[in-house]
Amino acid sequence: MNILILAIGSPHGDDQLAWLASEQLYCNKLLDSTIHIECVDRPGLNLLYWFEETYDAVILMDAVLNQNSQPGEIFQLPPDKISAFQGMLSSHNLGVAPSIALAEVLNLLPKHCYFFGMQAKNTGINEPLSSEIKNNICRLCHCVEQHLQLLATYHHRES
Amino acid sequence: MSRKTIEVPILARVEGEGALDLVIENNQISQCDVRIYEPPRYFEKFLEGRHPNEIIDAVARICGICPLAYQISVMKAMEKAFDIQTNDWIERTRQLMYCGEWMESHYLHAHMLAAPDFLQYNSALEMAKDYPDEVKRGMRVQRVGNKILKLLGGRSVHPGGNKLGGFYRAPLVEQVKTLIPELEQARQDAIDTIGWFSTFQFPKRRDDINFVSLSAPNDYPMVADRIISSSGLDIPIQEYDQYFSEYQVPHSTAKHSFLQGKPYLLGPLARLNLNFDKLPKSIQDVACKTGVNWPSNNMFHSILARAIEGLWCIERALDICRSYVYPDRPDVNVSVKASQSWGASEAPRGIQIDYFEFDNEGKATKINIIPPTSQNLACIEADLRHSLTQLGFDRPDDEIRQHAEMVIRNYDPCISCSTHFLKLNLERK
Repeated sequence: MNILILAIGSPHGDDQLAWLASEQLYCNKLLDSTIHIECVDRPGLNLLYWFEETYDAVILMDAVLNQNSQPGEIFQLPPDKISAFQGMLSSHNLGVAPSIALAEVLNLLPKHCYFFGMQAKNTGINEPLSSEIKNNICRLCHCVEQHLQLLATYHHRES
Repeated sequence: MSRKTIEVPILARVEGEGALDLVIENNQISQCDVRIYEPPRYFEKFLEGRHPNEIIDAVARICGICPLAYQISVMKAMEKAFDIQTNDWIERTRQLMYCGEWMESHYLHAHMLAAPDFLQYNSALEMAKDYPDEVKRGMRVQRVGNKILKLLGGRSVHPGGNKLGGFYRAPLVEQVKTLIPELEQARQDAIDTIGWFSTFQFPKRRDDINFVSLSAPNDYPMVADRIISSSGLDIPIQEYDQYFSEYQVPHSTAKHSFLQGKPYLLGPLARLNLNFDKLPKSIQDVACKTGVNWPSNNMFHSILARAIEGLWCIERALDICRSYVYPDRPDVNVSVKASQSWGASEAPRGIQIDYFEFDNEGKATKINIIPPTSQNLACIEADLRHSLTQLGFDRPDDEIRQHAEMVIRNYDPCISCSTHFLKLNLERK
C-alpha cells in the first residue's frame, strides 16, 4: 500500500507545525518504504496534483484556526468533513478545504484520504512557534502513526 | 432624491483582497471606488542598497502568481544598465520559463476565476460539478506551466534559478524533452479550451478603451523595449514616465496610472488587439474561428484572448523544448557599474515596468517597480461606471454586485502585486 503524508504549511509561526511533525515522524522510524513524506508550502490548487499521483492513501497535516478551540487541539477529519470544515488557514481563496472539495467533485481523491490538523496560536508572519504547538507535536505524530497502523491492518485484511 | 449604496465587502475570486464602494444618486453613479486596503509593501525602499542577485530573488516575492514577471523585468533593466550581453540560449530558456508562468496564470484565472461568471455559477466548485472534464483540462495545462517553472526555477511559486546574466544551472536535455509529450497534449487542450470559451454568451458592448502593450519587432511581445497603444503611442520604454503618470488616490493604497491623463488597459486583450498580426498564422486562424472579429473592443472577450495567448505560449514552449541543447554554461560573465535603466516585460495581466539606478558596486540606489494591476485600476473604475450604467440601476443589489465583480474579475487583477484586493459597498441615494 503506497501512502503519502503531505505536510502543508509555511515558515511562519505555528503554520510550520505540519513540517515539524513530518520531521518527527521521519525520526520516529516507524515509517517504511511504502510511506512517502512531502512538505509543501501553501499549495493551493496544486494540492490536487498530489491526488493524481498513484497513492492508495493520502494523509494531510496542516495547521487550523477553528473558533472556540484551544491551541494544540487536534482535529481528525475524513474527506467529507474536510471540505465542510471552516477552520482551515488558507492563502487567498484556494486553500486546503476548497481544493479537497474540488478534488471530490472531479473524482480525484484517492481511495483513502484523511486530514490531521492542529489548532494554531501564532499565525503572524515571522512569529515564533508557540509553546502550545511545540508541546503537542508529538501527540499529533502519535495520532498519525495510529492511523497508519489502522490502515496497515485494514490493508492486510483486504489483501 | 434617491440614494443607494451597494457594498461588495470582499471581492471573491481575485488574487488578493480589496473592496468596491458604489454610490448611486438619482440613477447615476456618484462614487465608484475600487478600494485597495492592504497595507503598502515598500519593496522599492527595502531593496535599496541591495546587490543585483538579492533583488532578483526578492522581487519574486511580490507575487505568487506572476513572480517571474518581476524577475524578468528587473533582470532586463540590470543587464541593460551594466551592458551585459546575454546569448540566444539564455533568452530562449527565459522565454520557456515565462511561457510556463503565462500558462499557469492564464489557465488558473480562465477556469477557476472567470469562466464561472459566464456560465452563471457562483464558484469554480459549482461549475466543476457540471463541467468536470473542462476543469480537469484547464488544470492539466496549468500543471504543465507549473512543471516548466519548477524545472527551471526549482519551484513553481517564487522560483529561484534566475541570476544576473543567466541561470544558476541548466536543466539536462532529457529533463526538458520530458515536457514535450505533455506540451503536445496541452496544445490540443488549449485549442479545445478556446472552442469551449467561444460558446460562452458574451454581453454585447463596444468599449472606448485605450489598449497598451509592449511591442517586439517580429514577435508577439513577452519581453520588449517599446510601448505601443491603440491611440497611436509608440515609444521606447525609457520614455515611459514622459507619457504615463502615477497618482495616489484617497481610497486606495495602490496607485492609479494614466496615459496622458486618461485610463488605459493592459493585459491579454490589449496585447492581442495590438499584436494580432504577430501571432503565427495557425493561431490567427484558431482565433478567427471563435467568431470574434479581432481586434475586439469588448472587455468580456478578455477570457478568449487569454486562451488564445495560452495556445501561443504552448506552441512557443514546444518549439524551445524541441530545439533545446545543453549549454557550455548557463550564464555569461557580468560586471557592474554606476548606471540607470528601464526594464519591462509582459506579465500575464499586463506590462510590468521598472526603473533602477545603481551605484558603482551595482547596489540599487533608486527603484520604481510598476505592477500591471495598479496601472489597470483607473480603467477598472471607468469600466465599472460604464458597465453598471448599461446594466441599469433598477436591478436588484445582488445582480449589480455580481455584475460588478464579473467586470473586475475580467481584468484578472492581482491585488497581491498592486499591494493586494475586493469588498462591494453600494449606496443608493
